[in-house]
Amino acid sequence: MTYLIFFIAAIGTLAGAIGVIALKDPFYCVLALVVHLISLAVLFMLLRAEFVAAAQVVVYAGAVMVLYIFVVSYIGGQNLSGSAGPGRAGTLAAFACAGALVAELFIAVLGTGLKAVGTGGAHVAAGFGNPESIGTLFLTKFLAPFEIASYLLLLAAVGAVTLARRRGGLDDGIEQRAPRISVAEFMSARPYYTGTQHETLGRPESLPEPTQR
Amino acid sequence: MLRSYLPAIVFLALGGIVGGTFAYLNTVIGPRRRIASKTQPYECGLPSEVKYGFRFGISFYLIAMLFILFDIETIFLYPIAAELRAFGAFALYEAITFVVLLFVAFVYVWRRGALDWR
Repeated sequence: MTYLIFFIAAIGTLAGAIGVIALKDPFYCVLALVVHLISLAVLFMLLRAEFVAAAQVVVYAGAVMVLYIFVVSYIGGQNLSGSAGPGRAGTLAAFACAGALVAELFIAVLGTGLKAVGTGGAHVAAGFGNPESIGTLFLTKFLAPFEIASYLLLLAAVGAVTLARRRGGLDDGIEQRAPRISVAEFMSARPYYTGTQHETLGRPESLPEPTQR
Repeated sequence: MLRSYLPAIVFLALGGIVGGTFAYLNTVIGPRRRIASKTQPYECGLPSEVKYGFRFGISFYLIAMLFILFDIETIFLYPIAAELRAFGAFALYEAITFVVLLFVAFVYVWRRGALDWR
């Protein structure tokens, strides 16, 4: 049963990866990438790395692929076919990069990967890679990277907003226009009868004048 | 080890079998009247005016980008939550520091109007 699932997932992984580069329609490419990532998550599950598998599905197959779909939709599916090719220098550079990658993979596989074939694999303790052990590592050995990661996410949020504004997605910002409400106003209590039904219906005469707080 | 995944595997298999069976039955015994509007992807309501090359606005990209950020935050918080009892207050302070920094990001994004749909 394990072998069956492994081969199904492995075929899905390879077929998805080939589909990403072989399919013409960029939407289908993204869907093939989803297949690839979910198959990869199944392989992680077989390695008992449940947390990594869940993160793979939640972050990559979920959020990142949604972003890819929107980026493809933003660029437009048909605009790519009419564009000119990369040119001679670009083609040569692409082949050089691919060749370097293949050489690196061969060195890695022949150097270390083949030694593991026929053995039981690396010895890992029970519970290796589960959320508890990852949490322990976050709070001990990798405490600084864990906190720096939140800075990174903060920077990414700023970068996304800045890029979207440059593309005309957010037509106004704090520089051009005074903010609608200040933080102090936001935190303070709202004025009387706002945010209630009285605001829409108009304040009836019978209501008392608000007393000073 | 697969024994612990057995319910999930059975669930997936049943879902595939039931869905596949009904799709197959539909192609075998369902009526086939091909009219022009049935070949279009959107069948009900007004005729769709969206063409294939339709471009989405940048707002979609921005929302998806912000979704990734806070999605990753959730992924980071889960292992901390699993070890909260073992590490006690220290884990709580670390998690609060982490969340406060992302709250700054959230307030920034919000005040810049990135969450307003346009």
